[in-house]
Amino acid sequence: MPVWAFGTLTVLVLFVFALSYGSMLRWQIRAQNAADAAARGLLSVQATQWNEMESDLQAAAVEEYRIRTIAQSTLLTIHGDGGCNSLAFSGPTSCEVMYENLRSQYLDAVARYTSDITVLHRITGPTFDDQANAMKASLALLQQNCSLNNGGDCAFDYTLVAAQPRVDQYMEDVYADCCSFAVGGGTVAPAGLTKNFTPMEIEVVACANVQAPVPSFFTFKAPTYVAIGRAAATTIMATQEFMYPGTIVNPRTNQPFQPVEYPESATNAPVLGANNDFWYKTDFGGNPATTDGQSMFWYQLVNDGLLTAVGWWSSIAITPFSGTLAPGASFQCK
Amino acid sequence: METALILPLFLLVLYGVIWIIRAGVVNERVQIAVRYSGLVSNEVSPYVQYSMYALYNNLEGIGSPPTFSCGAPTTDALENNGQFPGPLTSSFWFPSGVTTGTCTPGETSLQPGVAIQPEIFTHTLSQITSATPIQGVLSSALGSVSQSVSAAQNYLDAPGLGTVLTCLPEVDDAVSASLQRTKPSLNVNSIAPLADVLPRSAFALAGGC
Repeated sequence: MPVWAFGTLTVLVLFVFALSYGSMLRWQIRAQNAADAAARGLLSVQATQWNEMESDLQAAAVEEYRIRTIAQSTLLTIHGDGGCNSLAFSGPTSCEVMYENLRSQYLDAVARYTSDITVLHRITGPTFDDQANAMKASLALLQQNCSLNNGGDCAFDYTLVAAQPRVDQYMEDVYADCCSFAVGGGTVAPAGLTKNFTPMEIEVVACANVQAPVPSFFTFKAPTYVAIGRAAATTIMATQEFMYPGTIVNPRTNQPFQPVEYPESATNAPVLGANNDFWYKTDFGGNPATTDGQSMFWYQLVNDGLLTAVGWWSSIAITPFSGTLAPGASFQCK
Repeated sequence: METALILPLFLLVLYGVIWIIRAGVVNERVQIAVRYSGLVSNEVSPYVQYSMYALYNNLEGIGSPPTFSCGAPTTDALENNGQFPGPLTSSFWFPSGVTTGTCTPGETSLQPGVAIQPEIFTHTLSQITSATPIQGVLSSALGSVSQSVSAAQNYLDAPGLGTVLTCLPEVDDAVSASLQRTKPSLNVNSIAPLADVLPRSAFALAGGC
């Protein structure tokens, strides 16, 4: 009898151990999931600001290109050059009528550009420190809104333990100037770059004190255990791209992303015959490119054109970087 | 005599150990399934979400409201059906009940008060449920008992450009006007210089964001 009783008790203990071990594993992974979800989500604050900024800069660049070409065209009509009829005072080919149209388009373009710059100023308002503070506050809301669409896991307390600039070689070049462009390839942020334009890396801890599945066994009482998830994430370019929007066709519309405009015309159609408004139209253009089939693109710089080189931002998980953390001091547990 | 009395109890507990080990593994794997869904499967398609293509095709009057898709937690984290990377698992560890994974994506926001601009996100609620019914000797002893197993996690992420433009109409208005060359609503007869001090005011969020 004692042998059976002892044997059964032993297996019962094994049962409780197995139950506790399975529970601990589940809670640890759940804590890690909670921390990862929060860390990546919070960086949306910076990634979204930069994506808004890139969008608005593209709009401003298009508008600036437009303003330059309209100003050029306006000058031609004043001098009666470029093909307009300087002797006529009416009709679409009249220099005077073209001038009127160009003037109106110029004013509209400047008004839109002003709006772009005003919006850009609002987009870029929050500094790096503003964003770090916003993330802390957002994490509190994430906890408060748990179980909602903008909430986290109700079982955990979340702590933002670090938010700092990421200074490493994992940056990507995306730029273009008069004669060349670069997209991709590792680079290092230039010294002295304001941290407002430096990718952020953050670390989040999700922590909970968990009751054992069998809190007591005969006279034994199981202590609570701590489920801790540590997750770090950083802002990173999800895509980099370069294109002449005046040449590359939007597959959705089958038209160039930024089609040719005819600001000299009241109807946005060429007035000197098809494709014959060479000196007046706003052609976002582009240059024929050839590739070596591997990694190089060659442009013959024969046309005007607006070349866009841009990177779009998102966040990815990285290894936690804050070293040893102390429960209670570095982070709180629910 | 005592063997006849205790052996059934002993075997019952022994089978209980085996069952709880299986249940524990299934409990762990539903969390893994949710993790895989949230961190890997739901990675947005970068070109569709973050690109000039996304920008131009979500401008005012062109884009339809962004649609969201997500990858539900795969049952393959618990069984072998070829979707989940990693080694195959023995059938001993399979859940015995029906496993169902769902995901619910959408756009959301937080306005913590200290932020100058509203914070917008895409979110994906990944959920999975399964069960580990008691089988064999235990089921004949205890009847139809089943432990339901589930896991859920709400993953937030940086929104694509379609969501940004939809949720922030003032940004959309400015960007769309320039890229589409729409005429300003007011008739412009002169150039007003930029103000010396530009506003830093917060953007209004569109309804539903």
